Amino acid sequence: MSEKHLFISFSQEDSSLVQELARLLRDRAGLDVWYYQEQTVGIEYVTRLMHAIEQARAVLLVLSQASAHSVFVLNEILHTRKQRIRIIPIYVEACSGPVCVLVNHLHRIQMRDGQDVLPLILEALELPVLFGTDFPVGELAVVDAYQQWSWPTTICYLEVPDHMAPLELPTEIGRWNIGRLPVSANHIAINQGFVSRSHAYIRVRLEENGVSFVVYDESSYGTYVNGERISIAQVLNEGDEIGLGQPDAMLRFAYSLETRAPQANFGL
Amino acid sequence: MQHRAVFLICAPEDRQLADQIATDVHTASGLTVWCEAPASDNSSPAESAQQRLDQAQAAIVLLSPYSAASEYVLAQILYAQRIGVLIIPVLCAECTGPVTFCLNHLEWVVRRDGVPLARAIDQYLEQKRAL
Repeated sequence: MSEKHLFISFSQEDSSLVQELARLLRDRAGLDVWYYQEQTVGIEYVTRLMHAIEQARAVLLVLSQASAHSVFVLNEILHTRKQRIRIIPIYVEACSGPVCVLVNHLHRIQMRDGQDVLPLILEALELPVLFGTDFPVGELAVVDAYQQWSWPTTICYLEVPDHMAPLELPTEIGRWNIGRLPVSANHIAINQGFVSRSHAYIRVRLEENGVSFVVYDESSYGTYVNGERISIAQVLNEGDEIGLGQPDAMLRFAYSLETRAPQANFGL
Repeated sequence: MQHRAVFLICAPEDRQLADQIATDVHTASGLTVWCEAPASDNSSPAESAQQRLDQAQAAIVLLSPYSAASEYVLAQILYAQRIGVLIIPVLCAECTGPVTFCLNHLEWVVRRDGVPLARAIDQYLEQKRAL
């Protein structure tokens, strides 16, 4: 067993549940667990928290309605990703929010009443690390009036196996679904007006000189790019505005830093 | 007419740079820029800074190796987040620390020599307004 600890990322509102979880992991599995228990936030607090993440074997993300919208949890997860540390989302209730969007693609654990969650966590810890890291390839800013959350703007992430060189990547490297809730089916979930359950999706393709993003419509009421209804598919350019079931902008597309340059550097 | 004012949060060591930026932004865009860095002994004028934040449209955070580890800067950011003021992180020098950790989820403006910052901040405000 690794001597490294497990870091638990959570919202204070779930602290009693987290204490139970930590006790379970320590007492029954002998795992070292780190989670913050102080009430004040200051430089020392954040410094210790950052180090605890950086030295963790994995981060257990306790997902609830509270944590899914927590800026602090969001920053912990973004920091974890930068460190390329494994994240194991543990859903304690049905929820959606920016934190869910970041981890939607990861292997998850669903916590149910009466169920022993320990074997599931142990199993998740032992899963082969097929995917070393993921990185943003594009961003969609969701227009405030149509969203249930206001940050983050990054939505298009891709997991790339550590051992793969950029040239070995498959031509099509990702697909992101847009539609009505729930977020389990859609990477971008918008509960509004004429948005269909599965409204549109964005495909990411590797080209010789970088990455291209193509939006496909599969709705009844149409998908609009810069106010014009698209027939089937359309390549997205920096700053394009997308309307779902209406011409008004609901999403704004932007390349991420990694793909903005003509010759994309995948940072592997 | 709505009074347009932003509050500039910085570490005491960056005060000179902050004053320069405040002047540049005000001259170029007409924005009123309030800036209250703490004294170098870090005895922060937190209360008056927070009163300014209460009235500001946005808070500009100057990110430098000093501010990245500044208790005062972190406190102002947390306060701005609590009251829902738009935060504009401006990266002035490569740095990492607790303050940058707390701003991970935001878009950052990168300050470059010779490039007017006022325009970037104006665009940022416009973009957020449009959203």
